Amino acid sequence: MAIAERGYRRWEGRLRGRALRWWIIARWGVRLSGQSKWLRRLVLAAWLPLLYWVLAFFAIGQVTDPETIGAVEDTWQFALLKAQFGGALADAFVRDPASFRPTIWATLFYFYLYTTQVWVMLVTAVVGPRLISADLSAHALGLYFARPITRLDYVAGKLGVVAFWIGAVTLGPVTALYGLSILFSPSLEALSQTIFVWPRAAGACAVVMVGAGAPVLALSSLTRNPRFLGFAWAGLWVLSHVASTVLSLAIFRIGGAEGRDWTGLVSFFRNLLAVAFRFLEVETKLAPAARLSHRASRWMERYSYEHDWRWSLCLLLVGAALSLWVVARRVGRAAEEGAQ
Amino acid sequence: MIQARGLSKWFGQVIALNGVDVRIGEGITGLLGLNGAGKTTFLRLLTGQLRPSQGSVTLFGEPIWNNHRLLRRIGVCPEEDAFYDLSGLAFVACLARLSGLRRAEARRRAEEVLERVGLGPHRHRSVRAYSRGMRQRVKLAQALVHDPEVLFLDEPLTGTDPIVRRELRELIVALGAAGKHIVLSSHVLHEVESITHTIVLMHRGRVLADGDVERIRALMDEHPHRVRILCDRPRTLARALVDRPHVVGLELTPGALVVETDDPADFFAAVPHLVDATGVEVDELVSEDDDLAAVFRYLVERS
Repeated sequence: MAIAERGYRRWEGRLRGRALRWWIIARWGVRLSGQSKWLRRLVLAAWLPLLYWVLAFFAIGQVTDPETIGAVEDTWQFALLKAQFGGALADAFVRDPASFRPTIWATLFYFYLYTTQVWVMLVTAVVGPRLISADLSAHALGLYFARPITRLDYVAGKLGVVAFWIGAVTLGPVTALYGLSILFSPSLEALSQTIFVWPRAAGACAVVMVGAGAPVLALSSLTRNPRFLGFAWAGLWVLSHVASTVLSLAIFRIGGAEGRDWTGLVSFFRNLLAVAFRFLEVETKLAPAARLSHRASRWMERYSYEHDWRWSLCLLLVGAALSLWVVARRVGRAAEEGAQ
Repeated sequence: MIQARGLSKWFGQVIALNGVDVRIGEGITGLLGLNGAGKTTFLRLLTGQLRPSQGSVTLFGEPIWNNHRLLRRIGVCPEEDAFYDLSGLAFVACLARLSGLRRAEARRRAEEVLERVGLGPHRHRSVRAYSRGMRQRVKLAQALVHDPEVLFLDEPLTGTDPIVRRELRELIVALGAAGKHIVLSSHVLHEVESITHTIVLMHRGRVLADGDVERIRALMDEHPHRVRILCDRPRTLARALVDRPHVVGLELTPGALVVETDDPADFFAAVPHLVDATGVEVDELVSEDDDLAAVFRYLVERS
């Protein structure tokens, strides 16, 4: 292969500031990780259950249309609503949509977020392990740090990658669902009554992105061989949940319900869900319905968390901060080791 | 252009660089040293990737560590193959974006530099499928993509076949002629000599000598030059050589004669006549001081 005999051409452009370098790292990472077929399949699979929720909101839109009120009892839409919420709450909702719409929407969005947690675990287990360990094993850090890029840019960029994929199975579907729910609503009144839902659901998703994204990055930075890291990460989620349940049961057997309120803090799932539960104000919104409906009161009992949600938020944020500190330290050390 | 003052770097108990004082001027400079001499550590310190444990290093009069303004003015071609599963064009364009080029500009410039390093026809192939020589070129392309003033090339010729090595050598010389200041590391003296005459010799974390390679060679010439002659009658040849004015030592070994001379040029000019006069049959004539190891050996002994 002969090298073309062409002189070197200078470049006269101006380089941009480094404010958005993390964004470029994140985009690059998303593009590279998106090459994984498994990941693409997982994300697709995570969107499939959305069909049910879309159907549910379509039904809600239909049964709350003022033109059809009083003539919905025999429709499939009402049957679906009854199956989901029980007869009493469904009846109350159809009679007075304005009062019960926030309850129904907050509860449905919470249920949806509840189901996404497994996808979050699986997606982070596929994306996270290689994000930093691959750079460490390929000695690729020099490619970044020989440019005007700080460790903070690098860590933020990598967090952006994992946050993107978590968002793809949480925030993305939640946003699509909210948009469709508004479209299915009979009037814009629904928007004003449920305006709190999307920002609060998005806030809960943001906590998941950081709370689940940062620890998996820390794990990735601890090894150059990520082969079993995905399993270890998923195992951590499952084990923490099992430990929380076992502890709760053990304390219940010994001393009754007293003194077990902290056991939810042991579970990764429960911490994330406690924050989502509070962000969507499910407890407040469900309280009036619980007086009417046995099913709603059962939900209150089942999904309410005995521990203070602020402890969960605190644990997740402190955990994320510690994880990012570990990543920054490991990356700094790896850059030094690479020179030896 | 580059100045290191009392520059040291240690990793725990290991001293990788020990009190280096050196000035590197404009043009092409070769950083020579055996494996483990501290060249890569020195290059990483010069490129701001490592913080000095002691001393300082400046580029264009400013400290390089944590100086992002200076990082824009340098390009680094690392020794390791750190690639992703991307085409050559996507790889270089992405690194161009990290250097601060806008998207369209990054792509255009990536095409330009890939063309320049001879990878134009292969720019859409995955980097992982590139040969060793192509990988060295793509690394050079990513270092060049933002048009830096100074290029740091860590062992750019290592592992390449002779043809690729010649082409890369020509490319580096052409970049130097185009006004780039280049610091390249190598452990092969003749390779560096074919690119530049300005060298910095490193050994065990220290700078042994720096400057023009001729000057270093002249220093070496003060030291008796050892030549091993494999022949059928070493004693006869030794008798003929003993009265030569520049021969300062003779050593007989089985089947060979080792001559120490303080004027190699005169000695090599005289050898054919001596062989002719004595009728000795010479099988091989080896200069023992012509490789880098000998240079280091001598300079270490001298220091």
